[in-house]
Amino acid sequence: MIIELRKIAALLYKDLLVLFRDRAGLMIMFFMPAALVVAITYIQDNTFKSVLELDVPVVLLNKDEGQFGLSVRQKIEESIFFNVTVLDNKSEVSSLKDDVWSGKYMIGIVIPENFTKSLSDNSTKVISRLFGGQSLTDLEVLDIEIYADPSIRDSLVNAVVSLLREYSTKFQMEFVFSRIHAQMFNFRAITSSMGGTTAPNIDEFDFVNINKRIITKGGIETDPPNSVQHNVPAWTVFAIFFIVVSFSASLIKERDEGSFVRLRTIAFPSYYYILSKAAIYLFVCILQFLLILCVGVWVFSLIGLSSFEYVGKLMPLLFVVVCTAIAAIGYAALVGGVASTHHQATVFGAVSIVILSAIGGVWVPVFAMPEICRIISGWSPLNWGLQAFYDVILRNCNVSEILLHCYKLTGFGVVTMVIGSVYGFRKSPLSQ
Amino acid sequence: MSEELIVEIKDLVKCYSSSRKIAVNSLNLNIMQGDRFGLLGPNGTGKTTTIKAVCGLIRYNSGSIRIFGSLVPRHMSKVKPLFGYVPQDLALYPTLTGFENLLVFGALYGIDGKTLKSKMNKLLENYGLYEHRNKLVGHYSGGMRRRLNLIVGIMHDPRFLILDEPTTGIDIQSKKIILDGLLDLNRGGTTLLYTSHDLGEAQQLCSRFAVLDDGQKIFEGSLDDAKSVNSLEDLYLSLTGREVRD
Repeated sequence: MIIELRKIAALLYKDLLVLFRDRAGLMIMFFMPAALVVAITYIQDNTFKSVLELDVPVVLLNKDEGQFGLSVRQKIEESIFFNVTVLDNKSEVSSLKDDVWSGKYMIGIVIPENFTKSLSDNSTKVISRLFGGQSLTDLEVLDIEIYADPSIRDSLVNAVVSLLREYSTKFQMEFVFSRIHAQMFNFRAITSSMGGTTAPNIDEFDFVNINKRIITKGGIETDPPNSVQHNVPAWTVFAIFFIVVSFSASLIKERDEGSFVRLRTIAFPSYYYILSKAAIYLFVCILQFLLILCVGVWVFSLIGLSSFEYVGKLMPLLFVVVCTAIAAIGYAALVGGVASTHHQATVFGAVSIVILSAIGGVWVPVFAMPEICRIISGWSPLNWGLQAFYDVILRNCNVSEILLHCYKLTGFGVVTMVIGSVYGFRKSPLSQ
Repeated sequence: MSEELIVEIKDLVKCYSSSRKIAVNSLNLNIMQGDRFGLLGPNGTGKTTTIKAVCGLIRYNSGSIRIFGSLVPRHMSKVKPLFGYVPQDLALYPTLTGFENLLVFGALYGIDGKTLKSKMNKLLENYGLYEHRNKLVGHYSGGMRRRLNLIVGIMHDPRFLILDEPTTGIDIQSKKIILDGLLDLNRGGTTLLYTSHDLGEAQQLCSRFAVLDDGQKIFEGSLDDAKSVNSLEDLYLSLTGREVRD
């Protein structure tokens, strides 16, 4: 047992020394992701608020059976920005909120019951005030609720708010003017009523509130997340997967230099070899995450960005990092096993990670992609990692609520590691 | 006392599926305890394939290989602790120092800490590397790397040592240290299986030879067994001809 432990320790020692003496590799793994997260977050900070996004999944719960509800539904369905799902009007608001915080829909809109009737009643009262001098104290305040997933950009939620505000204002005006038109037949009433009172304030006509609420687990409201909360998880996942370049290169280097062949003539189980590398790179991934976390917490504030907020979420985040690292290590073992040369492994490894990150939603949000890409995205391990990070950071999920993503990541890692190891073992220059 | 049979190769056939070439064809060899056995032949005649098969690094098509009576590669775990391998490639970690390389491989051989340190120091001293033990192997000269490559192969005191061109591309001094070291090991009871294209070196080191050509054994015995030849080179050229092999 002690001898076996000594053998494992020897492999760990070897892999650790080999890794930490590879300065270029260390730069790729540590400095580049840190520089990337600073640069991208800084650049995106402004564009984050104004980027035109398309085909956002929106859910509408229209409990109003009148004209307003129908018109809003029609208006949103006509918009090129949204992919609308309309719930049965007997559905519960709580189920809509659950669908939004879980990420099924990015935005949820709730139009309350009898909205059109209340709007009409209010308009009548306003006209009565205008023409009859009554007070406006009994006006009913009408609320349209908008629930937004924390991972959606605030600009898009504001676009929905603006759209509804514009439409409700237009609708109110139509009601008011139709009432004015009716009152025009009694011109005397107008002049006498205007004589003794001040002109009504136009703001009094606006009795519709559109309430924007960013919701997390259990429908709890939160502040809109900023670009930092989006970018730190996204580039952490990217950085973790970028170990593929270094890991696969180290496998091929050992194969090419002959040390792998020598190791195969020494008596120890062959899985020690890959597991010792995996352990070292798992450690690297945790260090990468801690480095990016430090950059997010301390460096961002120095360059005028918001600090990354993670308080109370460190343990679930570390859990996500470990699962994502297992997926990345497995994929690296696969690339290293399948590739024949160092050049193949580094080029294929790097390019494939950029592609997987693109379809996984690191560069562009998944909901803004064409439909086919959205489907493919669900198969990208970077997407699983990213969603797990968003669940923890933005949606306040605990470990038990992100297990599905973590199972996928770990399963992917184990399967690819086994395939890569078997393939690499057979591909050894001497095993023809 | 009868000599122990260390390696027994019977009717070994290896055909590479990629090239469909029969690399080794019905090879029979016996290597006895204490032998310094030279496996010689032009390029592409099956020497390295035979070595790989003996080391358990490739599967062969038919025949059998037994080392210390255990079938290879099926019972490789029994055989591995008993033999050492010095590959033609410098199978070392260039970003580790000489000392660190030995520490890693020694631990993998299962040598315990105290024994390992004293053994490392002794071997580094014997092969003229003690002064350079804390230098990165990447900064070693060719001769130093070859010496370290040998040390890694022998540090667990194997009873049988396989050497694939262990002195390729090095200076005379380093070559002498390596050959003297191998003769010392053999005197201590280690059986050697050696391949090289340097026939002078092979003649100096080996007590018995086998010459392979086109995957088949065309000679086995000592230089004394070959009549009317003055040197191993004469014997070799008379067996394999003067035509260039590519």
